[in-house]
Amino acid sequence: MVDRKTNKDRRLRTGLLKAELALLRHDRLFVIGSLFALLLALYATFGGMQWQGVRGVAHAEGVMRVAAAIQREATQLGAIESGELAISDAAAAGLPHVVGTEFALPPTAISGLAIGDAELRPTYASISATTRMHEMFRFQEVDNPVLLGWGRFDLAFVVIYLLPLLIAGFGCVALSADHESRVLQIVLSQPVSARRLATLRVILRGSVLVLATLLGLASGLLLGQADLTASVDHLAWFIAIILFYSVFWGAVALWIISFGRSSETNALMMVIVWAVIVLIAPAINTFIAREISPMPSRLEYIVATREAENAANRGGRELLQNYLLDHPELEAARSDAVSPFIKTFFLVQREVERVIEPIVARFAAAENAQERTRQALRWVSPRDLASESLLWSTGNSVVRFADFERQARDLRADWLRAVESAVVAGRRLTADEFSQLPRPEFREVARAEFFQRHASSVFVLLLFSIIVSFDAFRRLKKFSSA
Amino acid sequence: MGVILTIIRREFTDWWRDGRLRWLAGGCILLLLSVALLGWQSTIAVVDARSAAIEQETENFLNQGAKNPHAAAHFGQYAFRPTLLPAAIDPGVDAWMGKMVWLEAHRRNLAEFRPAEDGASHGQAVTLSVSWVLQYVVPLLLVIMGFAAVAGERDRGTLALLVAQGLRLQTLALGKGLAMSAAIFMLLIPVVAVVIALYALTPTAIDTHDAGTRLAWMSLGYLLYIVGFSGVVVCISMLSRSARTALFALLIFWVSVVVLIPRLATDSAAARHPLPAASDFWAAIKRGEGADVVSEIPEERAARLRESVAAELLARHGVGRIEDLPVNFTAVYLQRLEEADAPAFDHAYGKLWAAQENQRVSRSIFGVLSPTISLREISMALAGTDPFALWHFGQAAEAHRRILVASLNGAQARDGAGRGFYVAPANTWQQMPRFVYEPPLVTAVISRHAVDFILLILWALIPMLAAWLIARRTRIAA
Repeated sequence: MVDRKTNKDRRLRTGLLKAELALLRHDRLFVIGSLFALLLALYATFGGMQWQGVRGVAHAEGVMRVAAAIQREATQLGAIESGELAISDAAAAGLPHVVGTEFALPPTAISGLAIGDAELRPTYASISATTRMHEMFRFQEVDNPVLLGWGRFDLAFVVIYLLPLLIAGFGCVALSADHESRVLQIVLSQPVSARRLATLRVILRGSVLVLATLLGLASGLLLGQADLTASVDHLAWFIAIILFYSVFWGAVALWIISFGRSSETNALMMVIVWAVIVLIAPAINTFIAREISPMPSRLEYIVATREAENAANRGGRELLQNYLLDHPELEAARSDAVSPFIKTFFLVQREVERVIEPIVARFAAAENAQERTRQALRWVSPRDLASESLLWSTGNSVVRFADFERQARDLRADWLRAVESAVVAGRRLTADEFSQLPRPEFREVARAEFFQRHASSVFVLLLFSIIVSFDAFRRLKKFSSA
Repeated sequence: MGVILTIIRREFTDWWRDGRLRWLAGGCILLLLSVALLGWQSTIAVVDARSAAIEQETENFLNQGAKNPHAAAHFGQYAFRPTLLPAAIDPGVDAWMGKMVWLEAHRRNLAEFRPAEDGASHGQAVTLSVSWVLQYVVPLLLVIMGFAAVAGERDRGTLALLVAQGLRLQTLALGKGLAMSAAIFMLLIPVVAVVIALYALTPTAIDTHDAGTRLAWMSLGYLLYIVGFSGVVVCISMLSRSARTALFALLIFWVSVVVLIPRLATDSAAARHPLPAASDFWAAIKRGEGADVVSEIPEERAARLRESVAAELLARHGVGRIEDLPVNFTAVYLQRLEEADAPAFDHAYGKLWAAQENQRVSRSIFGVLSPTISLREISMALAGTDPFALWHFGQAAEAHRRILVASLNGAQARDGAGRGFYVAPANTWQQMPRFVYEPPLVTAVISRHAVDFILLILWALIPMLAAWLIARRTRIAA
């Protein structure tokens, strides 16, 4: 008896699914919408891959440049020390204020899918004894501010802004159109509930749209000749976020249906909910984060730096004398390979950095506080959660950029410590000292943290979906086609 | 006229009775007022901070003490980009543009310290502002208010009734369109009142830089935008068979015009006219591209120049040794080096700006498809928050840098003759020129965006004309 009922139920479900699929195939607007999703995803992915290709080449060239410079310098120093090369033939070799290095943030293989702040935040640092702290990130890409402000048409834009509109847009009228044409009464006279019908229709529409987007993504990756070997897990998370974000919007569509209003009202509700979730709430979050944890003025920072530089410059000669008094061992090693101007400049900059340290620390603290507030606020915004996770997957998250800046500053501090005595003593670095200089290598965030970040975002997105679906199911139980 | 007024009155009554619209309108006013007040407050704070920074920076420059003038040229000056009062209404892309330029010897620097680099990520988040609400939210409000303007009458069967009573469809469309625009303008009255009050209360110490005229032109742009959108809403409502179809068509239109096309326009403009890569940009300057002498090794170029300057000076003054020259040779040479390098900076920065301008023109063409693009360009230009504001400022700062460095080199050349390493007295810096900047005139901004204005006017007129034509041709079945 139970078996017969289960079989009947299964047959009914299969029949319903087939009928719904046939309906979808004949819904011209929906077919156009799905093609639209595919084309947008394809265009955005391909464009992103092009962007990433340029970045990747620049980074690879930078790495080769650094390796070649290290090799050249080491060879020259070795040759000078063994007497094979005269100093006059390699005048700049081993000069502690001339040697320098470059440090660049490597792009991931899918960084073009969600560009975010990648064109705004420093991804390249030049480090040497004579590069001032505020100059180390100055060779940034020169981008059009309009492009930075209005944003690129990347896949994240398609997923965050447009896909929800399509899913919720086609989903929210899944029942009301039949309701208005009185077809729903006939359908519901069959042993199928409004809840099941609505859920099935939303899932079907959502699935087709997500599949179209993923197909666009796959085609874009193929056309862009992306090498994904090192980023499979990143891409998997990227796709997972698309799926969970889409589930949330499916739940929103179901929730709108559950009010049992007309198609117009549903469409209006949908667009208002979309505007609130995708546009207004994130804007308010950013605004709140800035108001709660405001940043100190950059003008104040620069003015204080200049004041300190002035004061240190006036006492430049004393700085050098004091330094040599503190380090008598350098007296014996003194040479005139480095000019007094460079020595003073080096010590003046060191003094400036010491004086402005509290201001820099205040900036860092304010920035951290603002980021913490923003991170806390994202838990109430599905859009921020999804956006943040997409950026994490592509290696363009704020956290990674901040990490890069921190590592660049640490590298610079290590570098200055390593060349300090040679600069002040005015002598060249030895081959051994040169080989001991810190080398740039970006340390990625621990895999556990990467996983934890994604898992928590996915969990909260799922929680949002469950809450919204629960309310939708509760309402749909009372849904009447009359 | 009486009929139109009746239509407008009836529309207002219907909207008032609709609780949802009351809430939406109330929310919109609240949002606009909040962002207007907060925007104004933060703009005044930025203006004040800049004034204080200029004062302190001047102090820093003047208090360098006795120093070599060329070392003072390396210490340089910071020029701070002004924030105009209309930026409170439209912050444009100000957050993505450097706030100050370091003016130093031998080098033209890019503006640095972009506010967007500080603090919480901008990513794809939007910055709340009056302009954002007017560009994004108000058109949506118009869609919600007007999708059923004519289509709703058709659904209810009242359209045939109205026509049967002798009401012309053109009059109905005009009345509905005017009602929508009027409703939005009424929503904006409190915001405009607040902005006028804030403007009137602005401390007199703050230079307003034609803020009144700029705001007036901005208002005209927004007026055209709202009228145009109202016209489109009425047209689509007339063309649609039902209110439902009208709503879907209008929502697709809104998403395309306000969200999708501006992004596509920016992206495609960037792809068509790419900016030079940073490495190429600086390498071209280093090579001296655009200057008289181009060389892969800049040190060699400098050495050749030094030799030629030395030969010229020795010949001109009829002496055999540099030490015997009646001028400080180093200063003259450094000044010549500045002059020799200047065309390379003009060339590289000129190319950079040309690419940005090409991108703007390319974006503006998309204004044919989306009035939001034209409005955004006009609005941020008038608010002084567009790339042109940065370029204009950068040019003025560079002109000042050249004068400043020439003055410092001049002081050394004149007073440091025969002294080798010359240390100028502490009062030298007071004789140096100060940087005074005047933003571009409103007329210059308007003429740059004439095409955008024309497109906005067309966007306002064509839907009205189309509505009239549709109304004339539409036959109402009884």
